[in-house]
Amino acid sequence: MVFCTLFPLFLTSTVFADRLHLIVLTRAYLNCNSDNYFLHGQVRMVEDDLMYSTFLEVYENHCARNDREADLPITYFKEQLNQAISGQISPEAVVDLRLQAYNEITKIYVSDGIFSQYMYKTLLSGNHMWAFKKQFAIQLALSSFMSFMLQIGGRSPNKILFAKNTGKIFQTDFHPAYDANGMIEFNEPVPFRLTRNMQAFFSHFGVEGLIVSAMCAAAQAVVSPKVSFGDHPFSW
Amino acid sequence: MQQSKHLWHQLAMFFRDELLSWSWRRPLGLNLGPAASGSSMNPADFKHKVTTNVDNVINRITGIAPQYLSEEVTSISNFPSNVISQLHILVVMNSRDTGPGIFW
Repeated sequence: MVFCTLFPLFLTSTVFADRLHLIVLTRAYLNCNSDNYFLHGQVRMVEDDLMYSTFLEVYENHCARNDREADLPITYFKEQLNQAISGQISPEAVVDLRLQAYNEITKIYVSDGIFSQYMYKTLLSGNHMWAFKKQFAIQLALSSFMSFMLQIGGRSPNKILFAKNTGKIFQTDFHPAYDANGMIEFNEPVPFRLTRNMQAFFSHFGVEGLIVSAMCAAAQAVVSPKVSFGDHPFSW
Repeated sequence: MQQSKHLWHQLAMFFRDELLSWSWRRPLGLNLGPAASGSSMNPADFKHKVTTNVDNVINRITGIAPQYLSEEVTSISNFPSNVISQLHILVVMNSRDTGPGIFW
């Protein structure tokens, strides 16, 4: 969280980053220092906003509309992998089985248009949709860049909040995990979350255009050797 | 100071706080081998952990950052500060003469 507040200072250092309006928008927060041994200043009050929803809420909303249990995909996945749990099949076959179960779930229970449908029903007009998509894509790119940079994992849908009116993104539990030697521990196969539902919402143009270029511009701005902080508008 | 140095120091402060918090969160009775918990952590070892983590992060960023900086990208940052201040004065004086309508 603290680095998130410092991170914007690095982002306005190249013309390209400025053109894309790369600004990290975070929610206001207040650290409450505690003398409690187990807390050690970890108590943090964060601004509440009713316009924020999580990706999980979007999915649950979809399930409620279709009169379906939200846990069905998990139940189905476990049923399909019963053989693997009992150790009856080889590790290679387990991978095939997992892929098969995943494909079935995406076909039957979790289609790639859930998020798009939710946003089309939430936003008032095409203009709102365009503005939201643009802002949301850039915020998602910066958030994903932070995830990649600091190797932050565990990005489950209930930990990613987005504002339905502004496209701002806020992530909870957004910090790296450490192994026994104090080095960042990251065992996930993907560096950030970009699911089929997000891809469908942004389309090919949004992903290849806005998100990729915003991530590249952010990386370039952060490592750009040319600019000193003395020239930054905040220091005037 | 170069921005890369700023980034290094900001990340170092970030990891210093994170690792300090991490070391205090670890259970006291747990035997975790050479990495001692909390208060008894060796300062040199602590510095090494911070430095390694920072270097890893910077390597990750430089790995994906475009290596080529065009003239256009660097041109504004190469403006001397006195040129910027003269431009500012010029704009302010001009707006006084012509009124705020110039910006519309």
